[in-house]
Amino acid sequence: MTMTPLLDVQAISKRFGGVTAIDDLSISLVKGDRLGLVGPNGAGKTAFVNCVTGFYTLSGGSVHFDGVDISNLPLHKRGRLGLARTFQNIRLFKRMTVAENVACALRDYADRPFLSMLSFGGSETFVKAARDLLERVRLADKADQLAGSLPYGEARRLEIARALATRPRLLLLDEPTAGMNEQETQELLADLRGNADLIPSMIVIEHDIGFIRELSTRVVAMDYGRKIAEGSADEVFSHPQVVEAYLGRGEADV
Amino acid sequence: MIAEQIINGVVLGSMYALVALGYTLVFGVLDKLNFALSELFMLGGFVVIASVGLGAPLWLAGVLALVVCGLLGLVVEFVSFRKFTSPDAQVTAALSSLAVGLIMIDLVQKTWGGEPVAVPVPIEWRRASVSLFGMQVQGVKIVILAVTLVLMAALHVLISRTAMGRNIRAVAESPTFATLLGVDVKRVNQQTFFIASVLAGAGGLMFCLRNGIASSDVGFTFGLKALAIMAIGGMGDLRGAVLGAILVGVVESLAIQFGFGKLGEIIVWALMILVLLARPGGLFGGAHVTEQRA
Repeated sequence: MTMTPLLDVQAISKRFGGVTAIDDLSISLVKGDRLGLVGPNGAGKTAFVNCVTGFYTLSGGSVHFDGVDISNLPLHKRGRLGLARTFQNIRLFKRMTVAENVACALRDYADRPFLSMLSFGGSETFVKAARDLLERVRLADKADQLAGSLPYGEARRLEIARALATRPRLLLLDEPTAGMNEQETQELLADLRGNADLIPSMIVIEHDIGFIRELSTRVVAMDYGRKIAEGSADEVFSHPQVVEAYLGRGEADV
Repeated sequence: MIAEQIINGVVLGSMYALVALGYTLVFGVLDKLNFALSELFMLGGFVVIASVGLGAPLWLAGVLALVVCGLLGLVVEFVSFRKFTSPDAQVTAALSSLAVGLIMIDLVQKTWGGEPVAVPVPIEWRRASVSLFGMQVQGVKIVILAVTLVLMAALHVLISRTAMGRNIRAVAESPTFATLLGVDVKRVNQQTFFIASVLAGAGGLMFCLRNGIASSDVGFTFGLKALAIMAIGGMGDLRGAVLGAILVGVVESLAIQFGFGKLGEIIVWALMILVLLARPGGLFGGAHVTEQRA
């Protein structure tokens, strides 16, 4: 018996004028997968995330989520189906507090128009839900600070907590450790592991090979918008084309 | 005399503030100008006249005016803004809302004629006065100040404390990311238009209460100044809108006091130009953050 893939990306392509960002790319994953997506800068990793989450319209191919064709679905509908993401450049509501950032994403409350007018954020279940999430990423003591005032590492954790508040079925993390030092990276790793129960499935884009090894059950390598290797971390990182893509072009800094 | 004029200015400013808050809310959330707000301000008084004509008591007529303005705000959102969502459609939406406003003026003039119409406010209401700091202040002015203060406090609580306000602020910072998190942007837009239109209607109501007349041209002569105020206070900044409105009201009243009354409308618009030349972001502005684009 075969399982219906949770995410089934079939032969998608994305072109901008004459530039091909993604070229005939197929990736699929089942519930419980944690897919690492690697490749040199410009390989099309972020473009892939943008295609899946609806920030880009496809030039070709199709994307199915849990059996539903979402290729042409608008952004918010994909969100409601259970796709959540974070951004390479952290995107927060900077002028709202840390707790409010999370609260915005607690969908059960946002969906009730009259309740939303009368709920003064003091409703207990609501505050508890927001606070639980903040506790999970060690930000509970900063709940009332403006999100714009958080240092980088904490801002990243808040962005993840906010994504988790939408109760995602698939979480896409776009270079979560970008700009982090070794210690921050380790902390983030521990946070993601500690919250594994809220992350049923995940795709993570990373340059940090150690991070990918620790976190993913499967790795896909991309270059020039195409898939060049797929398998376990060991298989992919020893694949000649992957080695060449990284080392051959002088990007040994990974 | 000067103190009296300052009070007059604050009263005037508080009416400006209600409309300016409406403009600012819509601009803050959608980055678009809703010109119909000026005419909803104008319409507030005529709804009172119509309701009283149908036999409603004055208090009910006032409530009806707010509700009708709010509902018409939803119509404006649907007709002039719903379809024009892209950032490039700012001009399209603004023009469309201007047209809706002009239609409102025309319908009012076809119904009541072009001349001002008396609003049936009991004359005692307007005559009654209160002694304040040794001055006689018309009771109506106190009522206007009180109502405005209550509305502003309510707006503050709504925006800063409730879940609805939180969604409104989220959409104001970034509709895309709010959408991504499951915030229903369409509903937030409707809520914003409703609130803004009720505020504009309330401003119109206060205006009629003070003047005892409703006039089809006040949208242009009075309501549009809210635009200048929004620019003076800082586009999209609610606090700036209130402070800017008080400033403009007081400046206008003092100008009359010192014999510059003939300059009239010029004062406000010249003030706007001067402020913008010195501080393009407005006096209190700079806080309005538009969406970061990828």
